Amino acid sequence: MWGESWHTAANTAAFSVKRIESLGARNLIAIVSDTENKMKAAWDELSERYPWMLMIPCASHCFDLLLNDISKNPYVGRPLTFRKKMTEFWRHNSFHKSVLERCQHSEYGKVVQLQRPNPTRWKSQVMAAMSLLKTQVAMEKAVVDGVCKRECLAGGSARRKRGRRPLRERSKTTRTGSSWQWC
Amino acid sequence: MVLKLFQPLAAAVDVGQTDGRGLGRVRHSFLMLLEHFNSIAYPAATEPAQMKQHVLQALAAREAYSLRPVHTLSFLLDPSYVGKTMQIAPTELARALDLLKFMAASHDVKNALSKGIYDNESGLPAIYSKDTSHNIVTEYTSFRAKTAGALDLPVAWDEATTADPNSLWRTWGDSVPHLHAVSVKIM
Repeated sequence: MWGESWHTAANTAAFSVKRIESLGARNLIAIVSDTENKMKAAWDELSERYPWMLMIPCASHCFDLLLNDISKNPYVGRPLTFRKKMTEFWRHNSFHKSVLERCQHSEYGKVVQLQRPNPTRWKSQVMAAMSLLKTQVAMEKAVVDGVCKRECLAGGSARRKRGRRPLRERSKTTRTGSSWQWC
Repeated sequence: MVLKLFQPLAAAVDVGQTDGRGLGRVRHSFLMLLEHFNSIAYPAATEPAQMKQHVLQALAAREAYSLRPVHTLSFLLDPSYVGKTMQIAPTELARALDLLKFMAASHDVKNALSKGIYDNESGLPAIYSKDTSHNIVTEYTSFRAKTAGALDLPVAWDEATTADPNSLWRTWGDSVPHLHAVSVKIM
């Protein structure tokens, strides 16, 4: 049987009942789960069977969803897009990454890793923005770095030449104070 | 700006994952977030004003979606929030107290069943001990007013004790035994 057939509300409720009975139904007062529709349907079945039991949505998941709701506003979405583009640019190209790491080393005495957010863990967007802010000065130095300019803007291999346009764009946005102020 | 807006919310995500006083802190987190979103200095322009409205609407919608009377009840029974000026709507308070009475009744049923002669609720006689149900509201009032037995002592409400509500209930809960029996279940 495939997962989608197995993970139905009835099956989830039946599995929960088995577990509840093994623990002693009167010894339990609450069940916590996420708020997916199938889980809500399972809650209905369990509430009917155990009327004293409380069905509680996972608070962490709900706060995560609130973060997502707020991120949908354009004023909030803009800095998140800036953060995403910056992280992708500096992480995905090994040459740019090594220039940034050298600048970080000279600025902070260590390499500051850029965090990659998880698509459905919205708090990770905040953590990624914080890690980006920690390395703002090094990034501003990296885009005006002599080696970076020489290799990417004035010459270098074909592969590096392909990176010219994104570097020009990132160079411009990195040096624009307003982009960082949004964060 | 956005990071400042999000930081308390990111902290609230962690609150949901903590053990101990989780449920009460979830209610507290929503109150704190409302205060934070109202007090943060939004730039004076149309777009930030619209964002503030969007944020407050999202918070209200998610609060209605996430909170249950047990969150409010746990918040009310958490000693670290007793005496603090935090506004809870009367309807929300009424639902939490209804839940408290319901849990007290359920506790009486469990006690009767645990005496061993009945298999299920249908077998219970019409008259069995309902001490918890009868005393719960009185004890709740005494607890909130800090007037019951040893709860009258300032040392019981010392910050070090209230930091962990379970330790306060274990140490000083005997003054309100029926409320103690119910509250430890949701703390």
